[in-house]
Amino acid sequence: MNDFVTTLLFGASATVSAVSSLLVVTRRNPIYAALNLIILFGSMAVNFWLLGAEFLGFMQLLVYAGAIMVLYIFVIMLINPRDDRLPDEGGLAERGVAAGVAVLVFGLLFTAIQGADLINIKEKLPGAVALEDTRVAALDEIPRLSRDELKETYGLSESEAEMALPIASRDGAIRVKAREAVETQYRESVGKLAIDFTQLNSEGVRRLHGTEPIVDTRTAEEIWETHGQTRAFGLSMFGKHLLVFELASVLVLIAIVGAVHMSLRPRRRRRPAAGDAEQPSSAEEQEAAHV
Amino acid sequence: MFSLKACLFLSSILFSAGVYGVLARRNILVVLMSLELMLNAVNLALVAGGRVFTYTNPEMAHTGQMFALTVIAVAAAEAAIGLSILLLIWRRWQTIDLRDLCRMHS
Repeated sequence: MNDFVTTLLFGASATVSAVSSLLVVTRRNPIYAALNLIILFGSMAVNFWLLGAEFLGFMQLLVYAGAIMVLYIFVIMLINPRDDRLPDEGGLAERGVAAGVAVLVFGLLFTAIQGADLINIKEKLPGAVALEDTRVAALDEIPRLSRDELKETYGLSESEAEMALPIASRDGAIRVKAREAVETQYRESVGKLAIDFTQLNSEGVRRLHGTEPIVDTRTAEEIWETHGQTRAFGLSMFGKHLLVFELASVLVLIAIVGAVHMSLRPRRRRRPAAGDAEQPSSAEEQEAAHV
Repeated sequence: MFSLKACLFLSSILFSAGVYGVLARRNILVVLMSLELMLNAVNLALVAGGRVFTYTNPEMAHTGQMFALTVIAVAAAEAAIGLSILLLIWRRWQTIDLRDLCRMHS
């Protein structure tokens, strides 16, 4: 998928998310809010897919749109509040205060995000992107580059220049060359440099500044293929993150037991649970049974 | 190619909408849904941030997604418990209005 299509899809799903989130909180009838929330979860799943989290996108659809929203709609149908028994919402002043707080929260987040120096989310690894953007070639004859030179010469942002710095200064690696001239060499060098790039914060830094060349036969595309894919995520989930997974499952188990316990009727009453929840008499009896 | 900033902006829009819903609405069902909305906004920020974090820390790959998966599990637990409490309230007092619940103790 090329960049344009990705951006277009993200724009569309982001618009749908924002509009339906506003509809969720403004509809009076809860069933409309629930339907808008389902639309929101669908568009969020699209966002997750675009971000390379396929498994999470499917979980979003299965768990949120499939299970949680069905639960909500069941409860709405079970309660089935008539229109005149819906709670009347607060007046203009109450809503105004709430909207003011929400706008304040948004303003704070907006300022924080706006002030941050963030890099773009790219289809490929940043090493490969930097290489492609600057048409990198020969590793041996170029003088060392400083961060400012990187930023000026290649138009990198602050954080990208930071990331590119070890490579650029290692052997003086970055030079502009015509693309067609390096087309074949590019395929090989992209892989190695991309590996260097992604290992900067671990021992990669040491290895980059040492004399040992880094040998990794994978190409950047192959590494990218494994990231975000369900298989890689599964390996990670049942390997490094196994404890988190188990804790989450214990949490859900406790929630199941608690929910079942709370929604059980008292022992004395043997009548089936369905259907009589709306009758005031049964509720009074039950209250008596509770006390 | 879209920026991390765009994701975080979208996330903050959704979160603010959730804040408004929690504060302004009196229907418990809608308040619970607004909570789900806020959790989802956090999920988006976690996944986008984790994706970018992986660029420089490949050994930490999938950490953001794992966080988001945990948040989904917490949201499921919260929905189950919250809705069963809501059902108990409905059975006992026949109301889903938060104001009525505030006055219930007197």
